[in-house]
Amino acid sequence: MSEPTGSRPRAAADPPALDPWPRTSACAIALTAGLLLLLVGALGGRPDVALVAAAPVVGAAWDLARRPAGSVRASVRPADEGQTGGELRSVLRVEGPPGTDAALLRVRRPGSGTVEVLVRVTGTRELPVTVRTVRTGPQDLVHADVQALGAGLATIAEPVRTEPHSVMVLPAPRPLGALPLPWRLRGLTGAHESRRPGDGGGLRDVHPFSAGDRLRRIDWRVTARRAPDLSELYVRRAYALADAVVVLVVDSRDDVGPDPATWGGMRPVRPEDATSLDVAREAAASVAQQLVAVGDRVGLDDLGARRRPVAPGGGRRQLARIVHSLALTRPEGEVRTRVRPPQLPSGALVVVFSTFLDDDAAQAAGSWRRSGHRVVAVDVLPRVRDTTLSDQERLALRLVSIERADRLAALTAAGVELVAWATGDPWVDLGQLARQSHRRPGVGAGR
Amino acid sequence: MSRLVETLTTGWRRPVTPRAGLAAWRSSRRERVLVEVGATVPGGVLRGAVALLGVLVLLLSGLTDVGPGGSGALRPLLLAGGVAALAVAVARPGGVATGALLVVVGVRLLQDEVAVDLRTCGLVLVVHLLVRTAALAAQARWGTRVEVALVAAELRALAVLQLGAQALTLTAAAVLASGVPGAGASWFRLGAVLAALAAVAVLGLGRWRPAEAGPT
Repeated sequence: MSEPTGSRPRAAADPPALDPWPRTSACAIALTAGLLLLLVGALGGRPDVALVAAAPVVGAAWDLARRPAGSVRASVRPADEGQTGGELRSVLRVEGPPGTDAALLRVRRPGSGTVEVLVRVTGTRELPVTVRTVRTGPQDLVHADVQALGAGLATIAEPVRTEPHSVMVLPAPRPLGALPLPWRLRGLTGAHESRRPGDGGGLRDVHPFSAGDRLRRIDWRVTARRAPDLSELYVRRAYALADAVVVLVVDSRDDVGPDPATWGGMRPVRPEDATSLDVAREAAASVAQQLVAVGDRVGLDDLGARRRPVAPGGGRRQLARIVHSLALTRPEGEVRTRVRPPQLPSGALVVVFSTFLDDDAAQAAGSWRRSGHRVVAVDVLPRVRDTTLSDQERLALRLVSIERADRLAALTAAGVELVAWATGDPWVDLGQLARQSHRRPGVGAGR
Repeated sequence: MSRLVETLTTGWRRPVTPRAGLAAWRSSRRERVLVEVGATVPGGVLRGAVALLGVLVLLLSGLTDVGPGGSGALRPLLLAGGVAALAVAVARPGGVATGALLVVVGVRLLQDEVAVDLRTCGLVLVVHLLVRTAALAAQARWGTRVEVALVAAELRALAVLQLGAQALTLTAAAVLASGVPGAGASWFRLGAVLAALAAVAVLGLGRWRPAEAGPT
């Protein structure tokens, strides 16, 4: 279908045209041919020729008599707040004046396909629009070009373009099993047993009653067995509960896709490919959700941006705060090397989400490990797709991969525990680390 | 080592290879925009309907008759013209080809004697269907999805008009059969000419623009 030159969709601020609903060429051509046959039939005394043309001519005249008067409005709005990864849902609203019969919609999104639909519109119509996406963070909604048609499709309005809208797509957490614990638990309340004496935990020992013990802790069975004359009272002592403090550290300096040809920044990542930052957001959100569910405290920091970290806390509001902060993480400006890694609460478990394509994240992880923190490094590099690379590019990728493998091996040798999120099974890997730390309550493994 | 890596990675800035382009085209079709509407048909179906209706028009108008006629040389030309106009109408339904096809049909009808019969009733219906279907197909490309509800609404409007058109056709047939002065009467001609001039005035009052004025 050809498009006329010099015609552009009307924006909201443009003044209306003098004849906003002109006839379509199909209507005019049918009218011309029909009137010609009508005249020929009338002048030549041929009712059969005139009858063949009568219905199209009368129909076109009737449609022109019902020509709409007024402007068309179109808008796009998000379908609901708090959209999570997977789908971008929006609503396209078309408002036409009385007499509008149909509308031609061309709906598109940068990087996605374009859809053309010719729909029936009488008055106002709202159409749900969905775009499946694997990307998270700020995303553009669809925008549409709408051209309304009058009764019988005999008249047509100026095309109208909707205003652009963007929406924040939050990362969708995956369910996880047990997670590793820090070597040192904190506090006297929580969801985990510690080595400190207190209340709430498992049996520690049975001890003779002493000052400070509670009367309701007296174990009468043991007392009756050991001191029938009640010369000595025995109490059951338990371990205290404690909670874990976990700090999630996201390396937002990298945002690379699975195609190494896009790592240089000269070519854009395809919209259907999840980048390393999308994987990191999903991984961090999943870990945060599981930790909050068991009652632990979670904080968030960013290796790339110099901003205030999210202090460790618990509860659903803390989880919402962390998920929203994750959606806002993005590479900002030039890469800056930190003199020293961020300060973290003592005894906290540190989970680092990075691609480890350079030394900064690995050095920070090693530094925390040397400080006594338990560190889990989550590799968020997507599964690399090298089928479209040339031999030269494949060789370069191999060199980079070797360097990266050496870097990860050095991390493991330094005592940092490694989990591959996109290329492995994080549920299994994290569960193995959790079993190592849960063997003896409050005691870490491999220290 | 870093210099070697830098030298080798400059190859990543080369243009996309044809194999990569094909993969990129394939994957670009995976992420789609989904607009939730009712049942739809592709625009190609409407164009196929235009083709089918055009063939019916050619058959009912007698263009495909190969028997001897008064204008032996004209009939094959009319058939060729009709087929060509139909082919162009399928490719560009909003263009002049649809009108040209109507004119060819009219010229063919003029070759025969005056007759208002079942064939004329069929022609009245099929020509009207062809014109409305072409107007609908003109707004849709081959891949455009057209809502079935819209097609049904257009058919309903057409049915209302056809009631009157068929009644008029049957009336004309009855007048001709009864021998009452009809086709040749001057009052008929006068009324038809006045009606045609009034319709021309309606057409001449406003401007029109191509039906392909799609969104840019």
